[in-house]
Amino acid sequence: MSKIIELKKVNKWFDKFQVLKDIDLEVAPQEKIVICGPSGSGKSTLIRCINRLEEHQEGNIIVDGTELSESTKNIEKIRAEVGMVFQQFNLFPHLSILDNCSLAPIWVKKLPKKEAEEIAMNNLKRVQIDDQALKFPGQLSGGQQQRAAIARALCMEPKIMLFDEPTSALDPEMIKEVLDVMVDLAKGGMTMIVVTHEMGFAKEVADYMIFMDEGKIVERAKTKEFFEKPKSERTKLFLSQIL
Amino acid sequence: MYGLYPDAEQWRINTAFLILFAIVGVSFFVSEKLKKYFILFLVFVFPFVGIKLISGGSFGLEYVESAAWGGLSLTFIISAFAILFCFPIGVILALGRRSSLPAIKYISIGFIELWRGVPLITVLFMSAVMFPMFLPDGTFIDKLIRVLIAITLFEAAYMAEVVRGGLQALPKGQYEAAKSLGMGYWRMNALIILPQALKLVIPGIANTLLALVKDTPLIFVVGLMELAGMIGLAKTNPKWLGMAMEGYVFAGLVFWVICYAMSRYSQNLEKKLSTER
Ligand SMILES: Nc1ncnc2c1ncn2[C@@H]1O[C@H](COP(=O)(O)OP(=O)(O)O)[C@@H](O)[C@H]1O
Ligand SMILES: [Mg+2]
Repeated sequence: MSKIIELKKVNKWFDKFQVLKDIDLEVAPQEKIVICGPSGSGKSTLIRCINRLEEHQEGNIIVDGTELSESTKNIEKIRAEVGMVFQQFNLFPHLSILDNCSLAPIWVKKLPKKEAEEIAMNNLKRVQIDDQALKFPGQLSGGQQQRAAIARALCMEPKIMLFDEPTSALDPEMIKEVLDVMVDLAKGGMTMIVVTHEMGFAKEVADYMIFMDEGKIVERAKTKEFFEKPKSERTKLFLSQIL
Repeated sequence: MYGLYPDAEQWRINTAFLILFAIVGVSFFVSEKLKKYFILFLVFVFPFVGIKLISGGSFGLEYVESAAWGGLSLTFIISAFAILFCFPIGVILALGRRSSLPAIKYISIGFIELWRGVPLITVLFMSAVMFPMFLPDGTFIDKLIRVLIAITLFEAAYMAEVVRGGLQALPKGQYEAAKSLGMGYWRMNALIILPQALKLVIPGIANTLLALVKDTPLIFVVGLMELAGMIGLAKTNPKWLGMAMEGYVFAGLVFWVICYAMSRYSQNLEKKLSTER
């Protein structure tokens, strides 16, 4: 099957500190991949390289047929196809939820306002906060804000969705509502890369699990194998700590 | 009020200001949509119409050289122009200073630090006295315009630093979210970053603009007389002898009224925008 994301021997440094070491990764359309690993192992950096919020120094990253490099002209075009959900939501506080969602479709995709707002309302309905559309982000609970952030990304109709610990900043009682939305999205056939420690979610939707430590991919395995018979000692140790 | 502007032609200043006040007044009562056009007109058309009206030289209006302009009307003209132009220039400089392109960054830093490091009086002298010497023979730029440009650039440097403060206060996540949605540099700044950053620094912006209005009397050093300068001149007139005190108190009062109005306006703006959170 052809791949929608390909990373080959990717290395990245912050000054002298190497964050990513020889990362190889392939993702086929509609695949769901969950990345886990201890804090500081480079998980965020890895997925941020995929929409070039971070730049890599060595190796190749190819997203939907376009190689990302300094000379990539239309990085905005790639980013418009790759949705991202952040740990801290990063909604735009000066805009209503509806405007948060319709802004990029209007200004980046050049859709007429009415159409963009229709798409926004449909996605807000999908994450079940269409009744909050006219409120501002500061007036919503954490769980609602994160669902709004997911809706905002979906409004660009991306081919790929990246999630960077989407539930880590949430109170426990709100985690489920966000995970439910993500499960629903996964069942709808979205290509997803999710950094999370929610292993229940991982077991339910992931095709592959990736375990990272110290900038390296230590283990990559089918979800069932990963949990039942992990190969590496470090993975075993990590799983015993969080399960 | 009008300085040395010819008595017979004073209606022209009055008309210019009447138009201004009429537009501002009406704009309070029209719908949001029309308001936009009013503001656009005010910013891009009115200044030139107003100046033409006051300076004359065409449409059958007698030419009045800017050296004869003066008094309160000059205070208004200078303040309005400088505020109008120093704001966008300041925003561009602030963005430039944070640019990732070294050339743009260092030009912006150099420009800001140069203007911030020199006293306004020096800048005024340079613009009025020294600058013309560097111009090739035969070119002539009106003294008032030179002074206006000087004040505008001077204040723009301060404005840039105020705006930069707002830019730096925004969390990185706002930039990243905008980028991740496919927005380029200009869209990101115009739609996401500047609206938030400027809102944060409304008090600082108001501060800078107030200082600007109060700096206008300094133009007397190059022979232009706005309100305070005019009173200095008037007190040597026998008719006004012994009235210097009243004159200066009056000038102080006028400045206070202008500045207080601006300060109130900025507070209202702040309140109005903050309820939208
Ligand atoms: N902008 C940066 N500058 C320097 N070091 C960074 C930067 N971002 C992350 N790092 C470092 O890179 C390492 C990996 O970070 P990150 O990808 O955020 O890890 P994770 O998401 O797995 O917790 C950490 O040691 C972190 O301190
Ligand atoms: Mg992280």
